[in-house]
Formats: sequence, structure tokens, C-alpha cells
Amino acid sequence: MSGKRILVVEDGITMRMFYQDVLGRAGFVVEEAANGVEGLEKALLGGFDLMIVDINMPKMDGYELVSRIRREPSLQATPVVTISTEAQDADATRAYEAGANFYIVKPADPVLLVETARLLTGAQA
Amino acid sequence: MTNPLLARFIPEARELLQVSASGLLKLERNPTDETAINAVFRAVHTIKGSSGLFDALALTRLVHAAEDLLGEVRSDALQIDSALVDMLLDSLDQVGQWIDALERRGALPADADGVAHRMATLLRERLGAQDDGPDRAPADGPQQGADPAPLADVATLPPALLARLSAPACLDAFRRACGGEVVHLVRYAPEPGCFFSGTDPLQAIRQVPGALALDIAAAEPWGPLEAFDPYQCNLHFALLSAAPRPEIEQAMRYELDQVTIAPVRPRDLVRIAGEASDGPIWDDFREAASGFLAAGRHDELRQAVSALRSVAGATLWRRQALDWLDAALSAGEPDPALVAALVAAAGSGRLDPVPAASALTAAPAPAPQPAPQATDPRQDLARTVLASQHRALERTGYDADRLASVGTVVGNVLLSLGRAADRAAIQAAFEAAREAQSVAPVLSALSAVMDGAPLQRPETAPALPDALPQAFEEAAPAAGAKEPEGRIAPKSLKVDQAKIDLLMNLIGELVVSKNALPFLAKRAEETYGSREMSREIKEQYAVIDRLAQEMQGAIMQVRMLPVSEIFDRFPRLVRDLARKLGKRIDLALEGEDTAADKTIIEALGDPLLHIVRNSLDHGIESPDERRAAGKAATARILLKARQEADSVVIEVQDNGRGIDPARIRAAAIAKGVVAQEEADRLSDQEAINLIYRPGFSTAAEISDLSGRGVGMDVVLTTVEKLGGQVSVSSRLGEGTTTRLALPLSMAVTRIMIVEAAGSLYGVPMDMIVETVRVPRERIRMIKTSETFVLRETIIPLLRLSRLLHLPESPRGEADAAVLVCHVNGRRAGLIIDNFREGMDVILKPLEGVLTGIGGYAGTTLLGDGRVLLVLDLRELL
Repeated sequence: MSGKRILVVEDGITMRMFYQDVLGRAGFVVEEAANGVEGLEKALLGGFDLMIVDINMPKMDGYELVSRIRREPSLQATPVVTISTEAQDADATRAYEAGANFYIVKPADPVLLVETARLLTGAQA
Repeated sequence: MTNPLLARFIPEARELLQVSASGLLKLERNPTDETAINAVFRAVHTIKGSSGLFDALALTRLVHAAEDLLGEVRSDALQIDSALVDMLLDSLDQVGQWIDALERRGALPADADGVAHRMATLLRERLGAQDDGPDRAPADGPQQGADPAPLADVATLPPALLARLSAPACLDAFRRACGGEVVHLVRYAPEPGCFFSGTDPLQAIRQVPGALALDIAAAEPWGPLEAFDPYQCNLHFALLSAAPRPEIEQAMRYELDQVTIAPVRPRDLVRIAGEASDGPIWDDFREAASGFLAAGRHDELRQAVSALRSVAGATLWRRQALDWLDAALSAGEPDPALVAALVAAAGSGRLDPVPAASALTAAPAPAPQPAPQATDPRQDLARTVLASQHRALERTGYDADRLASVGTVVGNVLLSLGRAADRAAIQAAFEAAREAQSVAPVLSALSAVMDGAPLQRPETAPALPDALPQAFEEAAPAAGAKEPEGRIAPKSLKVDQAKIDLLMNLIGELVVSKNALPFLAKRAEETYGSREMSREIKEQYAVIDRLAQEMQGAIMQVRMLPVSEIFDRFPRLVRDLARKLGKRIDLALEGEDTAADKTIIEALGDPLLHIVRNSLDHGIESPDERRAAGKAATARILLKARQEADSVVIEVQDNGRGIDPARIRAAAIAKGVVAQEEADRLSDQEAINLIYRPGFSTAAEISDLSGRGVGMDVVLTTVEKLGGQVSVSSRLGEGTTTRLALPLSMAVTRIMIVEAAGSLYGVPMDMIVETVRVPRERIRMIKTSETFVLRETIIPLLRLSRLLHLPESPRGEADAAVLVCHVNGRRAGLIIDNFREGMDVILKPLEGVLTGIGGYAGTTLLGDGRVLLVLDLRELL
């Protein structure tokens, strides 16, 4: 068990359960937020090793959330993976410009997702 | 349904479908409603994203088509109209049916693929010119240059294919490959009959992330036009992608058997075109470059290249060779064989084929072997992650805020791979970068990590990580210590309704069981003579009673649902019915947030539906009729909910023709609902109320809307069963308002126990205004009725025993116990023998042979096991 803490910010309840399931089984502690505003609030409480952020969300979308995270001194060093159904390069570029560290296309392959989370949190396989 | 993820998805999808449908209706009315289009788009988008987790490809495809269409609407490229709304609603309905099928059988019906294809094609047709042919280059792919001269000897890229790819795209791919990224060639040969299985090959290949260049070619030469079969796919696709193999496989997972994916060596991407040229500058360059190359002085070589590039004409072949050379040199650890080949090319004006063997031995890292199975997905992914950091830093330049997370990521990736030494080197580079305020040290260190020795496999790496200090923690100053687990509680929770119902039943049982304690206390005192024990039991009872009440209140809150649960289905319903009937109706909703207990909300759906249908069918006139009457052609129906004290009031208002009392009277007489003389005696309002009589229906012909053999009498029965009331008011020619008033909750009833004629009865507390003891002398007779005056109001008195036809207890000299009740809009005093305690009960309706007995609301159990009859004062008084 890695015990690394991941905050998943995603508006789809099924997707949240998917992350909870896949990452939880790989030994991560997964917290959830249902939109960007909630995500930022929870992130600010601190203690996350990685954030997985959906792009298309109500209230505050993923781009906005990531750029706000990067403006928060306490969150600047936290790795952020953005995840979206859009495979277009333009979307990935926008995410990287906002400050994301990686971009995954949804629905993420569970193996790829767990590997990415391990790499970005420094967890062992 | 065994898959919990699917069990979660089904209610979510239903909710999102509802959101989408109501949003679409809003859009239809107001096509520029930005909130609505965003809400619909997001809902559909979320369904698509989540559905990808399941084996429901047809569903995903259809939703995807709908999403694409909505995306066009959102970006104002497409105007929404009724036809489009119809199409989208039909698609969403189909998705809803599939969701039902998934719930029942865990799989889509057999015809789903065909249906999805048909509907998705219809939707995509509306995308029109947006997507008119397969020959379109990828959205951001630059246009192909002049006629290319095929020069390169390619192993995995056939020359013809390479020649068709655009030169700038190849150069981009080349630069990435030299920089350590793995560039894959994805070749996709769709089955000729793929269109019939609902596959859109172009759409599929476009889903592949990291696309650099796309080529589409005919699989077989195009035959004569008359033999052309547009239903057969005759296309092959080739795509260069910078994405890692697992992501590509993921994107093409449904077509994997028709796809080959292989890494491309940088050397194979080189494609130089242009005019031949000669002159002393080239000779000088060849000489200088060879010298630098031999000495391994790459920086100086690069300077020489850029100096020459700035003077040589852009169309020259040799100048273009320099571009490729520059790209090869920009890598952190340039591949010597490749650089040498390009130096020779720029110097000599032609590119010599590099023997494949030498390319492989010379450049192991940036040019993985063509055999795809040689690459480990984990290493591949790690490399891609690192390359992403490299690219992001390159693009943003020095930004301290940005550097921190890159530092964490790179440190963690190396930690995860067990590369402690590299980690230390990278950390030093980050420190240097911060000091120099430049990303250069990090970029070159990153390149070194990616290009240097092949990434070690974790299993062969020294087992260091545990002993390794958390060096990167300092580069990553987390705001505070980690919060204790569980501190961040989720804000809301979705729970199965059945669980809430169970909880409700349990709390009901608890409330009833606790009622046994006062009896126990009484017995302790009376039978066992222990007053002390009795007092303690009572104390405990008070505590349990308070907790049970609070718990009950809390559960009631959970059970409260907004009326929007039922209101939300009306926009769609009214729209569809109005179209069918050729009427124009504007439906407005008000107070959708008003909440009531779920049993009430659930039971309200059908009566409300019936009232609205009635209004549409009988109340609202056709547009012509309305114009003739001087009214707006579009009628209006208002659904309004609000809370009044402890009841929820729902009104259905229309501005239709209103109810004609004369017609009602005539119809009622004709149908034998009332006799002529009774009808004549009725006031207009009473005549209107005849519509609630069983067997009444004024519609001349039974339409398929409201005339389903269900009359307004059923509405009345349902509402009264819920403890509510219905009233109708109507003005001829102006409209009709139907008003439903229902209790907010009905699960647990608070009653007071009273004694009459030697028996105990329950009276619902919400009917009781107060209890008073009236001295005998203050009871006055008015005509034959007993009355008394309470605070200057005359209150009629009734004897409960007489109402129940029970023998009256002898009247003593003591004061009369009077229960002042509020029933049917007036006050009355009920003389009883004595007041007893109040209690919370769950009312059980009278069943079996007792069903027909009037005057009782139901029965309940007392704490000592006796059955208590609870009175229905509305009927008794």
C-alpha cells in the first residue's frame, strides 16, 4: 500500500467511483471533489500527493482550476494530471499551458492510470 | 446487476438525461440560452465519458454524435431548431432505453449497433459541411509543401507514405523523436464493411492522441465512377502520434485488430526536398562541420548550422537538410550516426541511406527498435511523462511557480523507477535553475535522463528508494502537515432509496417501541411499588424520546425531495402533447425547489399529470379559437409550488376557456351522475366540483390523452388518500386553476390519546387547536346545540361518545374536558371523558372487513400491545 493521497476532481459520479475503485485498489487514498470550486477548497486543505482533474466541469472547469492551483504557493509543487474525453492536441496544449503536468484521455485505461499515478507520486509498483 | 460501477452509472445517466432533455427544451424556446447549452453539453459529455467504462459501445457512439452536434451549437457553428431538438431528444430517449436494458440485463439489445449507427448518422448529417470528407488534413496539420522528392530509405515508413506526409509535420515528429519521445506510426486498415457496424473510421483515427500527421489513402485504386460503392470503406489511414502506445491502443481499442502500431526511428522520418545548390559556403561548412563532429563539439556545430541557415535560401535542398540537422542537434544527447549522416547530406547535397544495423547500434535510446514488444509500457510512459515536462518547460520558460510541480513530477518518476542517482542529478539541476532563473539546466538534465543510458528496469534497479531521503519534499513545500484522515468529508452522498425507506421504517418502529417505556414506568410503580425505578425509567424515556424525535426529523429531511422531481417531466410532456393536439402552449414552472416527503412527491406525479393533460385537452383552445376570442395564440400553463405552513400547495393554472358550469350540469345529468333537480340546486362552484364525481367526463370524444378511463375522481381519491385536498376554480373564458394541498410528510403521525365511553381513541395532533376544561355552568344551549365561549368566540360542542354512537357516560359535576379542533375550515369543541398522553405513531390503514368503516383514519399499537383506533375528525364532524 502506497498510502499516497490523490484528489480526484470530476463531476461524473460514475467516473469518481471508477477512480476510487481503480486507484484505491492500487493502494492510493482517494478523495473526491465534484467540481472545480470544491476541488480547490479540498486541495487547499493540503496533503495531496497528486491531483487528477477533469477538464469539463461545472462552476470552474479544469483549465481554470489548474491555473489557480499553480497560483497557490502551497499547491505549486503538487503534480496535476488533467483528464478529458478530448484527444485533440489543442486541449492538451491548453492544459499544459494552464500548468498541468500530464494529460490523459478518458476513459483512461486502468493500468495506465495506476502507472501514471505511481510515477507521478513516486510510489513503487 | 453485479457491477457496482454500472449500478452507480445507471442513476447518474438517468439524471443527466433528464437534465439534457429539460435543457434542450429551454434551448428550443431560447436558442441563445448559454447556461442551457452548457448544461446540456456537459451532461451529455459526462454520460459519454462514463459510458466508456462499460461494454456499451453503441451507447457511447450515439452519445458521442450528440455531443459533437451540441459542441457545434455551443460554438455557434450550428443554429438550434425544433427539428434538431427533436433529433436530440429522440437520441436521448434511445439512450434512456438502453440504460433500462443495461439495468435489466447488463447488456445492450442486439440491435443497438445498427440503431446507434442509424441515429448517429442522422445526427452527423446535421454537422454538414463541417465533416464533409475523409480527405481533410488533421485540424492543426500544416499544409503540404511543394512536390516532394523522395530520398530517404525508410524501414517502417514506406517512401510513398512518407512523401505524402507534410514536411513540417515530419520535421516536428523528427524533433520529438530526437528529443527522446517515442513517435509511433499507427496504420489502420478498416474493414470495408465497417460503416455497417456503426464505425466512423475517420472519427476513430482522430481519437488517437498526440497526432502529428495523418495520411488517408485509397486501399484499392479507385475504379470507374459507376462501379463506386459508397457503402464500402476503401480507405487506409496512417498516423504519426507522439502518444505512448497504451494511450493509442486505448483510443483504438475497438478496432485493434485492424490496427498496427510501431515506433518510428528518427532517421526514417527525414524527408528533404528542394533545389540543388552549390558554392563555397557549403564546402566551408562541410569542412568545419566534419571537424566539430569528429571532436564531438556539438555546440559549435550547432552554431555553425544556425549561421549557415540564416544565409542560405529557404527553398534549397541543402538548407532544408540543415533544418533537420538543427533538429537532430537540439536533442540533449544527439545521435552521432544521425548527425553524421545529416552533416554529410548538407555537405554533399544528398542523403546517404544509413544501414539499419548501424542506426540501431549507434542510437539505442532515442530510436527504439522497431519491434513494438521491445518497449515496456511503464518505461514508455515514464519517458512520455518526462518529455511532457520538458516540452512544458520549454514552452513556458523560467517560471518559479511552474518549476516546483515539474520538480516533484520528475523526482517522483525517477523515484518510482528506482533511479536514485539520476534523481540526485536532476535535483541539482533544479537548484541550478532556481539560482540562474533559467530553465536551461533542467532542460538539459531532463534530456540527459531521457536520452542517456537506457532507463533501468525497476526490478534490476538497486533497492534504494526506501532509504532515499525525501529530497523533493523540500522542493515541494506542502502547506502544512498532512491532515488526519477523514477530515475532508464528502459533501453529498447518493443513497439507494430503499435504504432510506428501511431507515424510515426502523425509526418508525423505534418511535413506537419507545412508547412502551411509560407503561413500564407505570408498572414499576403500580405493580412492583418502586417509585424510584419508575422515575429512572421516565428519565431514560425522556432522553430516548428526544433522540428518537431528532433522528426522525433528520431522516425526514433526508426523505424530502424537491417538487422539481415531478415538475421536470412536464416541459417535455406538454411540448409533445401540444404538438400532437396542434395547440401552442408556453409552460412555466414556479417554486420547483419546494420540498416535500418522497412518498408525497411520488404519489403526486399521476394526479398532476392528469390535471395537466385535462388542461391541455379540454382547457386550452386551438390557436384559431384563441385568436377569435381575442387572446394570444399561445396559451400558458403555470405549474406552481409553494409551502404553506406544514403543507405543500401545488397549483396548475391555465388561461384556456375555463369550465362552463352549465355544460357541466348538462353533462352530469346526461350521464346520470346527478338528477335534474339536484343539478339545479347547485351553485356554479358546486357544479364545477361535479367533475370529481366518479364516471364524469365532458370530452365529447375520448382523446388518447386524458380520456384513458381515468377521471378527475381518481385525482381526488389519490390526493385525499395522501391527506390532501383538491379544489378547482374557474372563470369562463379566462382559465382554470386547480389547487392541490398536501401535507409535507405523512410517515409518522403525532396523536393525542383521549378517553371516551370507557375506551381509548387517538386524535391526530394536527387537528387539535387546544385542550380546555370547561366548567359545566359555562356550557350554553343555543337552540338544541351545546356551545361555549372561548376567548370571545362561540364554539359549538359535540360529544364524542354520541358521534361514535356509544353509550354516554353519566355527566358528573366535574368540568367537561373539551378538545378544540380545527376541521374542514371551522372550529368545534369535542367533549370527551379525559385527556391522556400524546404519542407518535405509524398509522396502519383499516384493512379487510374494516375497510368500509367511516370515521377512522387507521389503527396503531400502544406500547402495551393494545390496538388504538385513530379517529378521522374530518369525516366524523
